[in-house]
Amino acid sequence: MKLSDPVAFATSINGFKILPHQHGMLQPLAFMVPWTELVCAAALVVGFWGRSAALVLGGMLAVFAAAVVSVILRPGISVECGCFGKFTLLCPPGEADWCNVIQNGILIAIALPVMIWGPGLFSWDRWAEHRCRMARAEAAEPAA
Amino acid sequence: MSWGGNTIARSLALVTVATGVAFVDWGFRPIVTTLAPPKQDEPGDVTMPPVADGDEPAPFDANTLGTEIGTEDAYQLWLGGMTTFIDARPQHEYVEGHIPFAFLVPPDSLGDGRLGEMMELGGVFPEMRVVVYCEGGSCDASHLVALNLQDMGFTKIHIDVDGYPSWVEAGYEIETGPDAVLGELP
Repeated sequence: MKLSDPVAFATSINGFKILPHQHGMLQPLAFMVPWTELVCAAALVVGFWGRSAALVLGGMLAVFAAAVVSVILRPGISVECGCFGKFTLLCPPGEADWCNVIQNGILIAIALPVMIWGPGLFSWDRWAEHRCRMARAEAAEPAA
Repeated sequence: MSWGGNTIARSLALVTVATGVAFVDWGFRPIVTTLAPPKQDEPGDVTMPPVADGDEPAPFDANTLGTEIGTEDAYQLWLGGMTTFIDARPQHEYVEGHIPFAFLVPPDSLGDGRLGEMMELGGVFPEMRVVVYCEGGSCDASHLVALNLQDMGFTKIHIDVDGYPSWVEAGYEIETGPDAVLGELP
């Protein structure tokens, strides 16, 4: 997706006309954004530091949504969202519009419970928490 | 597990790890983000005719040019007539004025197959020498278009780093109106 084609992603970022025209910023960003998404998504899947991963992804989704809103509000700019690389989720391919903003809103809403309550039962975090509680209980037992 | 500094610190740790991996990846895949120096003309290629400059006949050799060139070199290539010029600025700026015969290919249009159209309708082939320009300074647009051209197999790519403002300032010919070959962008 974005990671396999950094040039296409850099092109997409450039289309938003948010970053100043500095060659130095665009290229590292074209690598940093997809890698951050990948690392946090992997963390979220296994439930490792799930709350933090959800927080980062939610924050990024909010920034992307704000970028799309800024494109919609600024006249004369039309740009493809580039949100999921070549793939689409809810919105049809084409110019970034309110559909992309709503889509990001829905994804933030999905991430919100994890941000608030942490990851589910079958996650690394819960397992680690359980292990910690067990160890504490075992340590407390001889004293009792 | 409660909300607090721990969560924020872990978020920062995740971002830091991802940033580290991203920079390593960037280091290992420089091909897609950097332009190769332009290849020299080979025997059999269309060679650049030498162009006299003022009173002193200074033969101009396109093979000596690097990837980034200035307005004067761009003008010499333009005079030679064998180079395709690509305007990587937004359409409204192109319509207001552009280097004569330049194709309009703003980076926003790359996903729409604009470069493919240029090759098909404009008769531009990867073997040809191309000059990409935008507003000058450190504008990204020309670099992005050039990288896409490189992906398409172009090997003689130059970027006019001075850009269109410098061309106008030098008093060289300009043309106005939409792209006559590729047409207007939607």
